[in-house]
Amino acid sequence: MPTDPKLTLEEQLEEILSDTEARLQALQEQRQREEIKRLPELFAATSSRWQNIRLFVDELMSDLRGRKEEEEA
Amino acid sequence: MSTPTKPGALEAHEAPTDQDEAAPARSPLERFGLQGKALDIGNWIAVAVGIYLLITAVSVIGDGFKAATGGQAEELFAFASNPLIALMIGVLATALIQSSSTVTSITVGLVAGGLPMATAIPMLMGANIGTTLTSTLVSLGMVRQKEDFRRAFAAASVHDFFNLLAVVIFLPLEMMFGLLDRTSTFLADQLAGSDGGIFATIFAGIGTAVTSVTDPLADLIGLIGDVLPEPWGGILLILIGIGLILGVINFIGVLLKVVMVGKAKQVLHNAIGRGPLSGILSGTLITVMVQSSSTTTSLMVPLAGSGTFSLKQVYPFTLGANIGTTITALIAAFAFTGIEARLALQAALVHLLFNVFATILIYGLPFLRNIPIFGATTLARLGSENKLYIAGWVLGVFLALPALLIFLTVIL
Repeated sequence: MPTDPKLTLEEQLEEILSDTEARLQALQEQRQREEIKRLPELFAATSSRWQNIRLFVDELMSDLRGRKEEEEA
Repeated sequence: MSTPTKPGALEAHEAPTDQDEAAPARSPLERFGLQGKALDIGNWIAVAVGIYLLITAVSVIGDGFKAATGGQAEELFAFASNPLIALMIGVLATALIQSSSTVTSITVGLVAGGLPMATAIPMLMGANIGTTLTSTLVSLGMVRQKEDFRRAFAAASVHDFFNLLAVVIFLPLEMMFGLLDRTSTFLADQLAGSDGGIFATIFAGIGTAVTSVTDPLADLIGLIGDVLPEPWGGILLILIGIGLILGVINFIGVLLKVVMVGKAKQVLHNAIGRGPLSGILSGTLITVMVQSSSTTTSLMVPLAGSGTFSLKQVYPFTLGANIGTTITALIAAFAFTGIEARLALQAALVHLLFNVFATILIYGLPFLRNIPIFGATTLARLGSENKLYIAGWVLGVFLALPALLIFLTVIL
C-alpha cells in the first residue's frame, strides 16, 4: 500500500486504516449485492415456518439433556 | 442502508441453513400451463382480482358486523373496552394467522360496521406486535448454527422490541390524550368528511367507483347471511369475509413475490451503501410491493444470520416494513362510502399514523433508538447460550402475556 513519505507515522497509519475500512466496506457492499441476487429464493423462504418450532424444540431438548448429563457426570 | 464498519461483520459463514434450500417463489398460475408474457399478464390480472376480492370481503365483514350487532356493537364489545384486552386480541389474532394486513383489514371492516374506535386502536397496535412472530419463527430455523442464529434472532427480535416499545409509549398517550384518535379524525375529515373539500371529493369519487364494482358481489354474498336469523346470519357473513381475506391476502402475497421480485431487487440495490433513511424507505417500498411486513422482515433474517447485513442495517428496514404494511388497510377502506368510508379510513389512518409517529419518535431520539438494539443483542446473546431464554421470550410475548392479561381482566 503506497503512502506519502512526508506524512508522519501516525498520519500514515490513519491513512492505511481509512483505506482498509473503505476496502472492507466495498467488499461488504459487493457481498450484499451478490446476496440480493438470491432474492427469489429468499422470498420463498419467508412463508410461515411453524415447522421451525419443532426444530427449535428438538435443539432445546437436546441442550437440556446435555446439561443434565454434564451435571450428573 | 449504511454499511457496517465492524470487521466482525465480514466473517465467513458458509454453514447451510433451511433458508438456503428454498426454491424460488412460483406463480400458482404456472399450474395452468401459462408461460412468458401470458404468465405475466395472468399474474397481474390475478393480483387485480385479488384486490377486488379483498375489498369485497372487507365490505362483507362490515355488513355482517352491522347485522350481527344490530347497531349495538359498543355494548356487545364492552368486554374489549379495556384497551389491554383489545391490544392482546390484536396480538393473538395476528400471531396466529401471521399477517397483520389480514387483521388490520378485518378491523377496518369491523369499524365501518360499528366497532368503537377506542377498541379498534389497541387492536391495530396489537397487530404490530403479533406480526413480528413470523420473522422470529424464520430465525428459529437457523438454531443449529450458533453464531448465525445469534445474528438472525437479533434481527428478528429488534422488530419485537421496537413494536413493544412503540405500544408502551403510544398506548398510554392514546388512553390519556387520544393522540391517534384525534389526529386520524382530523385527517379522515379532510379526506372523507362531508365538508372536506377537494380531497374528500376525490376520495368519495374513488370510493363510489370502487364500491359500484364490489357491491354486486358483496350483496350476492350477503344473501347467504339472509338464510339464517340474526345474529347468526351476520356472524356467518363475518366468518365468510375473514376466510376470504385470509385466502386472498395469502394468494396476492404469493403472486406479488413473483411479479415484484425484479423491482424489489432494484430497491435493495439502490439502498446499499446509503443511510438509515434509505433503509426505512426501501423497507416501506418492498412491503408495499409485496403487501406483507412479515415477508419483508423475514427476508432480512437469513441475510442478517449470514452476516451479510448488520443489525444496524436491518433495523431501519423493519421500521419501513411497519409503515409499508399499512397500505393494505388503506386499500380496504375503499370498500365503503359515506360515513362508513370515513370510519374505515380513520381506522386505516390510525395504523399508518401509529407506525409513522413511532418511527419518528423512537428512531429519531438516539436514547430511544438504541433500546431495541440493546434488547435484541442482549436477548440473542443470552439465547444463543441458553435456548430457554428464547423459548421464554417467544411464549411470553406471543402467548402467556396476552393470555394472562385477558384472563386477569376478565376475572378482576
